[in-house]
Amino acid sequence: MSHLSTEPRRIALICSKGGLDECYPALIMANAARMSGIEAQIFFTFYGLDVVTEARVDRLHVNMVGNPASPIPPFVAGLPGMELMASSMMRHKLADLDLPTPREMLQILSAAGCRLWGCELAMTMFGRTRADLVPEVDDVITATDFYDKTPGHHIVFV
Amino acid sequence: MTAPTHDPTPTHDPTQLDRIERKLDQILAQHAALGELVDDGMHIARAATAGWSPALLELERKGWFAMGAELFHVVDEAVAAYTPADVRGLADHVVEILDTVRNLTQPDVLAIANDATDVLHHADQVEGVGPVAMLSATRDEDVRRGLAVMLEVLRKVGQATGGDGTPARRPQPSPVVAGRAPVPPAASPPAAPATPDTRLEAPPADDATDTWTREVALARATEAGITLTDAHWVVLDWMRAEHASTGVSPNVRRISQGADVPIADLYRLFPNGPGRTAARIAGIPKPAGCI
Repeated sequence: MSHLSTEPRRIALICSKGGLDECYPALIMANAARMSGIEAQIFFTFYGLDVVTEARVDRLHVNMVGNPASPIPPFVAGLPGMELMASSMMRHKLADLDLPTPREMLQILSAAGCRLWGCELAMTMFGRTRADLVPEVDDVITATDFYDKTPGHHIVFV
Repeated sequence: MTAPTHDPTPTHDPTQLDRIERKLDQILAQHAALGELVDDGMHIARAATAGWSPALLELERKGWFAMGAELFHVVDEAVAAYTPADVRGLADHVVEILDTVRNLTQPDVLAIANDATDVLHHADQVEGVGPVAMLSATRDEDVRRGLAVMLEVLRKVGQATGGDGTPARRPQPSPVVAGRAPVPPAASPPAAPATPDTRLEAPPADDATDTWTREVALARATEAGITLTDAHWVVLDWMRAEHASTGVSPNVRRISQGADVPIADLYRLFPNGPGRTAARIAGIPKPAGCI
């Protein structure tokens, strides 16, 4: 709880990817920041917008093709149904570890005072409206708005 | 055999004749004895031949004579190939040669040679190996030790043949291992793994639970800028009970579920990290994990 600087620490994460495995780094890092007394915000842009989209947040998939860390070889990973299977397996694994789902992570973050933003350009691009997003989203803002809201923050792109 | 006829005076003295006759008888008797002797010798020789022939045939069948002939060829070629100077050198170094032979015929060395020969005999069943497979093979403990031994052998060969033939040259790194980590001495086991990195061990808990009192909690709350209320105590009491029963400090999510307090309220009650702040006030270790 003691920091070298008397200035409160602040972090802003840009979540640009919508994979089940790809959204957790932003969600967990933001939550860990809040638990450590660090101010946190997340800006959901491009496919990251799926994480805060009501119809998508519970159906996020694991991207297996093009992931060199995946234990499954690409020519197998590309077969129909493999992505669903891997996503289901990861969901079960996360549940076994008692890790919150992305939706619950958003609820925890919102309750913890982490600000959640949707990207306006991505909303236009994907044809979504504010009503398509989960209620935890604070607002839909532009990239320049994001910078206005994050003075003195460390900005991390994930 | 007939009596000698060259006697010039056969009739002029009967006594002389008698004498000659006796001599003839003597000669004839000797001759007969000789004939018997020859006969006996023939018998013995025949018996000996009859006895030896099968034995010789047996030897022939076993290839002794062929082998002897071949050995003779070997000796013949050796004599042709080596000069007397060579043989003198051989005599000078016979002790060294015997030492080498003795070393080579030690059971362990022979076992290695035998194993290697086995591999060579089955060489047609071994698949070809590329550079990558060769590199990955070096992960094998046995292959590594073998490589170290081979490099040591190469070094000795290099020393023996290097430069002007001075055998006692200082050992130099073999070109094979240039740019690589130094090779351990031949046949010595690989270096023991480093001692475990103690920096990775979890730091000790910063709060001892046995010295905790409500006054301590009040003091720590004041330190954190918090005035403890009943709402705080619901959380603190539940956390202490949870830690006492499970031995684990609950994280924010767990506190919210267990103490039935919304997460947002926890952040209001204990700003700047409810899990850690509340744990410190409650006198239990700070929660692990990142949720």
